[in-house]
Amino acid sequence: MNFPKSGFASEAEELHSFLEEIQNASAQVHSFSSEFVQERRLALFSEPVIFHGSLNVVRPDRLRWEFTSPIPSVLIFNGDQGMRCNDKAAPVDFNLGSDPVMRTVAEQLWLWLGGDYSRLRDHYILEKKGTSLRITPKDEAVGEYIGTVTIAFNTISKQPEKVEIVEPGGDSTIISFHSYVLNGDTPDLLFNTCGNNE
Amino acid sequence: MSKTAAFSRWLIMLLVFSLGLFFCRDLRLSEDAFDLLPGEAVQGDLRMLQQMGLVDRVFITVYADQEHIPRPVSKKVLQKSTEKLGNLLAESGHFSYVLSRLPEGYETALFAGLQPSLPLLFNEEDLEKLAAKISPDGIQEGLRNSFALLNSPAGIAMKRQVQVDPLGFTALALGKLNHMRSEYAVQIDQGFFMSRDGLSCLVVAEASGSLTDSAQAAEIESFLDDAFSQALDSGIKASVIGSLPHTLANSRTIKSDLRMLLPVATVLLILLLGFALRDIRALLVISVPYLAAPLAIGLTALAFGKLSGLALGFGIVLLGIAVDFSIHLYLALMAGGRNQGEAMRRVMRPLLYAVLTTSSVFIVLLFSEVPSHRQMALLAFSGIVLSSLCAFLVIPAIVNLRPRNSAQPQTQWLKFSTPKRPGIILLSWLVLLVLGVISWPQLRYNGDLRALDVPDKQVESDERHFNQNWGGGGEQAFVLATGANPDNVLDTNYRIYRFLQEQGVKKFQSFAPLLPGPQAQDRNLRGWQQFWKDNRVGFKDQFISAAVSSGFAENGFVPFFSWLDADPRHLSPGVFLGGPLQPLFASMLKISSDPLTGDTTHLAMTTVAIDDSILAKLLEFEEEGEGVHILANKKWQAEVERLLRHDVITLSCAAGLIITLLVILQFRNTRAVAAVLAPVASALAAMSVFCLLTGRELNMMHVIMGIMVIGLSVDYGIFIVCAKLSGGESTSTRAVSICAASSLIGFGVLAFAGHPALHALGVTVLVGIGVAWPTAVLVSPSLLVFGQKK
Repeated sequence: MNFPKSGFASEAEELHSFLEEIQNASAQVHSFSSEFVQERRLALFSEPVIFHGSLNVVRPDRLRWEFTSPIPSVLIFNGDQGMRCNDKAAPVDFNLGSDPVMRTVAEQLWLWLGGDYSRLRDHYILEKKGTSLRITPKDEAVGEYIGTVTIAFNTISKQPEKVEIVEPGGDSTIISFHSYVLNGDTPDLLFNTCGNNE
Repeated sequence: MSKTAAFSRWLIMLLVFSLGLFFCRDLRLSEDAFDLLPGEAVQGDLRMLQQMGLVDRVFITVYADQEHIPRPVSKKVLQKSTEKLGNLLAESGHFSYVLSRLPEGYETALFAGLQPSLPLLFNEEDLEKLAAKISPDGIQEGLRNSFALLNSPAGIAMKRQVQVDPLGFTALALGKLNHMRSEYAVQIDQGFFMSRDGLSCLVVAEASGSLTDSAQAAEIESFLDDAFSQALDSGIKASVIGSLPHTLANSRTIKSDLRMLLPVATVLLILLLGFALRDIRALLVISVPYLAAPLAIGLTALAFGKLSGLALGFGIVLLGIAVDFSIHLYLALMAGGRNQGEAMRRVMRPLLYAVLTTSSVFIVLLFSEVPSHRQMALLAFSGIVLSSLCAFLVIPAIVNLRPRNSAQPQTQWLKFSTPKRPGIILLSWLVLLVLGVISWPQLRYNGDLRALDVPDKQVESDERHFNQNWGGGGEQAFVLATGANPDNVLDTNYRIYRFLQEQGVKKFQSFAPLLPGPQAQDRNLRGWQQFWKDNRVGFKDQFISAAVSSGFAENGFVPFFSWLDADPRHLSPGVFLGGPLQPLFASMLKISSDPLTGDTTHLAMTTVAIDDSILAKLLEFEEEGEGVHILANKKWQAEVERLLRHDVITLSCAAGLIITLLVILQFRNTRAVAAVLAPVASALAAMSVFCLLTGRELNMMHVIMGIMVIGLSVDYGIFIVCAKLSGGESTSTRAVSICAASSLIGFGVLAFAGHPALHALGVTVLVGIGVAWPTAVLVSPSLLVFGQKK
C-alpha cells in the first residue's frame, strides 16, 4: 500500500523540481523572439492547415503574435490593451476587460509562454511527461474548449519548443517554435503598431 | 367676571386642546416632495419617475484616490472593492436594486441566449445587410474571415460560434447592444462599469425607501458610511450623488439654522414682551393661539388625509398671526380698566374685521395648484378662526387673574397717532409706492425648486467629480412606455425607439432593439421568412461549394443550416430579466404589483440626451402616441413655472380684491379704506424694491410669506384706523408696535439663515413688516387727517 503513495510523492517531487528548473531558466529570460509553425487539425477543415509566423515576447505582459503566411495577420497584447490586424481591414484596438474572447486568448498564450509555471497549480492539473509539461484545466468552462495543453521545453534553453493543444472532440493544434533569440532587442514599436499593414 | 365663569372658560379651552390632541394622535407627517409641486400632470409624471426608481437612486463613484495616496492603486484592488461594496449593498435590504457589475461571462451567455432568436431582431435594414452577406462575394469574404479566425489564437474559443454563424450574422446584433449603453462615458471591464482612465468604478443602487424623506436618507447615509469602511481597500474612496445628499444637506442646514436662530429669537421675544407688557400674564396671552393649534392640525389632516411636514411648519408660522389678535384684545381689556364690557365692545369690531380679512386671504390660498399650499392654507385658516374664538374666550379670564394695575405705564415713544407733518410722511410714502410700481415689472418669478436647494459645497464638489468622471451632466429626458399589458408596453417602447431613429437621435439608451414588442417581432419574423423564401434556393449549394474550396469540410457547417431551418425562439422580458443583462434590464423595465388592488404595472424606459429641438419633437410625439410619457426637467420646469406664476398672479389678485372689497364694505369711507390698505401697499412696494436690488427674483417662499405679510399688514391698518376713528389710538398703536416687533424678531431672524428657503422667508417678513409697521403708525393716521381742518 505504501508503494503507490511513495510513487505519487516521487512524481510530485519530480514535477516540483522540473517546474523549479524551468522557472529558474525563465527568470533569466526577460524577452525572446522566435519563428513558429502552427498546424491546426479541425474536423471543420478538410485537411490540416499550416500557418507560419513569428513571435515576440517581453515579460510580463507584452506579446506580438504574427502570421506571415498563408494569411498575414498580427495580434498584439500590451498590458490590458491590445490590437489585431489582418491584411485588409484597419487595425482594431481591444481591451482585455471588455473583450472576453481576447481575454481568453491572452490567458492561454501567457499560460504557454509566460514562464511562470508554478502559479498554474490553482487552476490546472500539472503532469510531467519527459521534458514536457501536461496541463489539464480544472475549470469546467475552460474545459469546454480545451482538453489538455502539452508544452515541450527545449532541453538547453528551457523555453517552450512545442505546444500541443487537444480540444474536446479531438481537434488539435500543434505549434512548433524555432530560431529562438533570448533577451535580444525587441523594439517598443512591435507592441504598438501592426507594421506594414498600417 | 365670576370665578365660575372664568373656570368654565378655561374648561372649554382645555376641552378644545384635548380634542385637538385626540385628533392628532395618529398624525403622521408626510415628507413627500410631490406636495410642493403644482398640477396633477407634473405630479403624475414625477410619480412615474419614482415608480421607475429614478428618484430614489444613488450613484456611487468608487475611485482610486490618486491625490492623497502616493502609491498607485491597481485596477484589481479597485474592482475588488467595488464588488465587495456592491455585495454589501445588495445583501443589506436597504436597496431594491444594485448594479455594481455584470455577471462574469455575460457576453458569451448573451450571444448564446440571443442566437436562437436573432431572426426576430432583424428589421428591414438588417435584412439588406444580410442580403450582402449571402451574395457570392459576401460568402467568400465571410468564409475567409472565419478561416483566418479559426487559425488565429482566438480560434479555439470561437470554433462553435463559427460553425453556427460562419458569415457573421450575429455581428448585426452587436450594434443593437450599443443602445443598451447608458449616457455615461463608461467602459465595461470584467463586467465593471469603469471610467476611461480606469481609476473609477460606478455603482448604481435604488433605495427601498424614499430618499426625499430626511430620516430615511440619514439611515441610508449611515449604512453607506459603514459599507464604505468595510468594503473599500486603502487608497479607495467613494462619493455619492443623487437625491440623498441633497435631502441631507437641506435637512441639516435647516436644523443648524434653527438650532442657532430659535434661541436668539426666543430670548429677544421674551425681552420684548417683558419690556413692553411687564406682566407675567403676557406669556399666557401669547400661548392661547397655540392651544387651538392641535385642533386645527387635526382638522387639516382629517380634510386632506395627510399633512406634509412643510405645510405643518408654515401653517404654524402663519398661525402666529393669531397671536396679534390676543395681544390686541389683552391690551384693550387691560386699558379698559374696570369697564371691561365697554373695552370689549370697542376692540371687537377691529378684531372681527382683522380675522375676516386675514381668513379671506387664506381661503384664496386654498385654490392654489400646490397641495402643500392648500394644506397650510386650511391649517392657517382654521387655526386663526379657532384661536380667535379661544382668545375671546380666555383672554378676559386671563386679564381677571389678578387685580389690574391701573397705573399701566404708557410708552411715550410709541405715540405717533397724530402726526404733526402728514404731508412729508405721505410724500415719502408715495415715493416708496412709485419705486415699488417701477420695480415690479422688472422682477421675474423663478419657479425652479432647485433655487431653494441649499448650496452645499460637498454636494457640488461630488457632482462635479461625477460629471468629470462619467460625462453626462447634460439635459436628459426619460421616455416611458406604459400600457394595459406587457405586450402593449413593449410595442410602445419599440415605437419610441423607431421614432428616435427616424429623428436621427444618436444619444439614447433603449432596450427595444434587443427586445422588440410582439408586433415588431412578428413583422421581423415575416420579413425573415420572406427573405429566405426569396434567397434559399441555391444558397446552400453555393455556400458549401465556396466552403469546400476555402478549405472547410463539406459537412462542417451543419449547425448553421440547422439554425436557419429552426423556428426562432420568442423573446420575452423574462429572457432578459433572468439573463446576463438582468442588472441593466431591471433598471429600464419595471414590473410592479399593487399589493392592494393586485394590478400589475409595466413601465419601459428610454433615456434620451436632449436639446430644445428634440424635446419639442418628443413632446409632439407624446401628444400623438398613446402610452408615451415624456419626463424631462425642462418640461416640468416650464410647467411648474407656468402654474406657479398663474398661482401667484391669480391668487394675489384675488386676495387683493377680496381684502379691498372687505375693507370697503367694513369702512365705506375712502380715506379710511386708503389708510387701512396703506400698510399692505407699502409692504408690497418694499418687497418689490428689495427683490429688485437683490437679484430680481421671486421664489415660492417670497409668495407664501408675502401672503402672510399681506394678512398681517392689513390687520395693522384695521386696528390703527378703527382706533383712530374711535379715539382709542394709543392702545392700538402700542399693540400694533408690539405685534410688529414680535413678528420681526420671530421671523426676521430667519433672514440670517443659511438655507435659501428660510432666508427668503425671513427677508420677506423683515422687509414687508419692517415697512408695514411704520406705515401703519405714521402713514395711515396721516391719510386720515391730511388736508382736513383741525
